Amino acid sequence: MRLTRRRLLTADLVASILWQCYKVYRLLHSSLELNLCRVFRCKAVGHSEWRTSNKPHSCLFCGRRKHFNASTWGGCDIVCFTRLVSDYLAVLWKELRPVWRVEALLLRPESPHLQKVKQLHTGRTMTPGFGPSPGEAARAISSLAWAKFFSFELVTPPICTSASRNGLKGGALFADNVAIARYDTNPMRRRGLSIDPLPTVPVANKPQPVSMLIISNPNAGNKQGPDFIRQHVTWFIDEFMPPTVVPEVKQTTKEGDAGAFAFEYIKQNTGKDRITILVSGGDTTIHEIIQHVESSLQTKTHLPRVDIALLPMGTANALYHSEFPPESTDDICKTFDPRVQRRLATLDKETRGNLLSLSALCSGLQSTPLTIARSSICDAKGTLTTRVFSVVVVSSCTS
Amino acid sequence: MTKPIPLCLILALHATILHEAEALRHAHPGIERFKIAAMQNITRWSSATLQLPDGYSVYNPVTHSFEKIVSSSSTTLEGPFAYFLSTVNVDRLELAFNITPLASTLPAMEPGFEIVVVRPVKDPSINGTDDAARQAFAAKSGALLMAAYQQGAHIKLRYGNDGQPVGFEDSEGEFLVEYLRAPSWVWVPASRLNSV
Repeated sequence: MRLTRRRLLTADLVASILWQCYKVYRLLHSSLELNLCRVFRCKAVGHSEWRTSNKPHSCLFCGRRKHFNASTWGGCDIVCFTRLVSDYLAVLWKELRPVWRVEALLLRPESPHLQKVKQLHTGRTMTPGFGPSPGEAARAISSLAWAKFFSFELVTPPICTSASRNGLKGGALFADNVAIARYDTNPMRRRGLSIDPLPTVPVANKPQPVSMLIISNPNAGNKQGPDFIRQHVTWFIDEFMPPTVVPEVKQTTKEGDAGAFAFEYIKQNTGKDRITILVSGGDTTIHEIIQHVESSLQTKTHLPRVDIALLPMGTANALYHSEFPPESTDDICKTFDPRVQRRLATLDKETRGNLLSLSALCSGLQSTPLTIARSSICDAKGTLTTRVFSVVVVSSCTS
Repeated sequence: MTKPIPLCLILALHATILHEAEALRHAHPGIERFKIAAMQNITRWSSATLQLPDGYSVYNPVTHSFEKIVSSSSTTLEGPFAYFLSTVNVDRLELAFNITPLASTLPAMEPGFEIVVVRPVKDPSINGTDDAARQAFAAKSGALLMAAYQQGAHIKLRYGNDGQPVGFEDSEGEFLVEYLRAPSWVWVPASRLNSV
């Protein structure tokens, strides 16, 4: 089937293409060594088409190590694209109107361009760092023909996005060494896009979103937690967590909120195997969560296993530094997924040190069981007055 | 999350530090508030008895191993206590304050408490519990806490012949710190009025 830019794209066709792009992305993404951000070609001898490869530093067509020209761009755009696809495919299916050309912003969610678009279309700013709602995304994607910041033609597979941005003239997307999509941006030689075969839309097979709760205590430590999440955590999750993970941020406003948020989240996920909570705060925030959850649970059957990742935004961060001692940071980093390691290497020492727990989570490493101590405090007559659950210091004061 | 461990209550210098450091949070938001609180309370001792009903192990710095105490008569430690701390899951309370270093360097096979105890009664130069004795011991408590910042060196400090803290190889006296491991413990204050 051959498409040209003049042909109308119906909603089902758009969704079909999106789904195929997503499947290809997942295929490519599953290879740890695959470098999505680079394309190599022997420019000097006329190899003008592109391919992705898991063998960097050699031409992807002839295998030569000479003549190749490496062009690099941000793979994060692709990740963001696939997040949109996986999360909003069902909405696109219902809401997209027939259009002959659709352009979408594929920059990071915190991009000022995307913020501006959201404001224009929804009249309000986005939730910082965590993307639009499905409805917002669908409206934004389907009506951005005017957007000039960075365009993506929906008929083009994602890797060709950068072709038009870089002013290059052609592209192809390969899966299992079979070209599934080709595109030529040269108007004099326009061949359009061919997709073979065109799949039916498997909406029923769409990966189910997996929730992830982020509890942020803005008053912990030096109060840098919310900024840190915006600047470093958002894109880290986008890049390294499965596209199906949908993080939800809850910010505490008073004492007791952290525990209540965690308890509610655990209750909502009763029956699931495991859930994830990312805690931005200090030891007090962790203690508050453990204390509230342990003392509120009526039953401990059918509860999910809770994986807790920490962002050390407190004063002392005893639990975090005990799990991730600063003197062992380099050794710890070697246990992470190679892609995570490469990304951490680009960060400054302090930022890298704060992302170790999240990196371990993103790398799928085994978590450390947390020992919970129960303190029973009695008065002079031996009557129980208070019960405290602790995970760091087991202590209390009496009068 | 694993199963909870039953225990009771603790008191002593560390509890005082945490309590008063909280009051200093606004004036001193950083970790320096813990040091300030420690210096303000370093002369305070707690009269109490530490009971270890399920038994315990004590660290021997000479053999670098824990020795299990099985005698029922030995499962009680009498005060006064200049320092008492019990932790789970951690080997430090700040970035460099390795107060329970063996939690990571000699990890336990079973979940339990890391307990650090300092009893002035072990000091050969201390007689009685009057103010003079407390003042005299305060400098040793301070030295001990500072040694914890040196990769947990406090657990190998010994009393010299004159009662001053010295290095592991400079004396054959008692160790300043009693480093215990126990599945449970009970803190019984000698008097409620004595508590911090």
